[in-house]
Amino acid sequence: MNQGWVVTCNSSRPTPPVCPRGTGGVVLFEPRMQESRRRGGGWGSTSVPTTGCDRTVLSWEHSTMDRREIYSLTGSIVRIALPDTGSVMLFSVESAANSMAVMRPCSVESKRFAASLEPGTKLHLTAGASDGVLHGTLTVARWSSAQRMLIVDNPPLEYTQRRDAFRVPAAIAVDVMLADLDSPVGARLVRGVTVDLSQGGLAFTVGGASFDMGDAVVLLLHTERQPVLIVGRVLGVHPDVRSTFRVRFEQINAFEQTVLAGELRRREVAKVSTSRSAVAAR
Amino acid sequence: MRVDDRLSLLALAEGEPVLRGATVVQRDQHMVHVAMDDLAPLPVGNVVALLCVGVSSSEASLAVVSESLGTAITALRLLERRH
Repeated sequence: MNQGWVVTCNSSRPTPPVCPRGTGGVVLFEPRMQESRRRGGGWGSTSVPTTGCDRTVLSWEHSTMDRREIYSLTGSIVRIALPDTGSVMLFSVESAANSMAVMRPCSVESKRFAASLEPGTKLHLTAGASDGVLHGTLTVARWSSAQRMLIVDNPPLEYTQRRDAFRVPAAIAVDVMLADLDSPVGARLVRGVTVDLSQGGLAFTVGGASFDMGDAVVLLLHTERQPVLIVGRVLGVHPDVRSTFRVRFEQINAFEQTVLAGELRRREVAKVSTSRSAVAAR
Repeated sequence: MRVDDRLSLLALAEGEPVLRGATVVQRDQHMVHVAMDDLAPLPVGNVVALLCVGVSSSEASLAVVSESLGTAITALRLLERRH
């Protein structure tokens, strides 16, 4: 049944919303309309005829379920990278309104990176949320050398949960197997420590070694019960911890997978017990 | 991993990591036969990690020691990868 949408808006005449078939009636507002709602302006109603839609009433919540604006990240640190590269630069969101967002570089390296960007360059933005990742593609407008700010466009962001498994902060000793042509066996082990761990991957810190995105790695994780052999692939450097690399597991023995699950469970239970003890001690 | 490639093996002996050198002598889809540099046999059924470093990239895999053929040749069954 194709009927008109009822759109509530405080602008004089909104642009008819686009509602492609199969979207379940989700309509994305223009950012300025969302701004108007935040400011609490006067409200009016208008009916906008559309085609291809099966619902008659549009509620605001439909449009914010899985998309957010850069505006919501004001004051937060975001990660910006050129597509298909492993290096990630940190910026803080200064402001975002209408078609423009302003990013402040968080380091000398980030500033150098921003200053080297040509207008029109596409960048990939990611920002951690409590239960997933916000991401989007930005287009560089210009680098403002006077303000030392990167000016980009203001696209809507998408929310995704990329991980299959819950991640637990954990400092566990891990041996990393490195190729060593000077060694008679062609390799050596370097001791590192994990930063976090899940059933599907981990992040580890190691000194004196460097990995590129896509490198295969052999890890020996020293869990409390027994060492666990893992083959993984480097996803990239950890954006927030120096000399730390993120790895996705590609091979792990079925039995050792259960050992890993037990280690994760033990650490989670210990965390809950510690919080309960802290409450009881008050 | 191809025939004549050099491999490094990481095995566990009584819970302690041991590195060994080996050379690929035969390879098919799921099995790799290697000639170990030293004659100490790897226990059958143990899981080992293989690291093969090439000119432009490295390859790694887990394998189970399938059988020891003679004193130096060891058959390794490669474990499946996650998708």
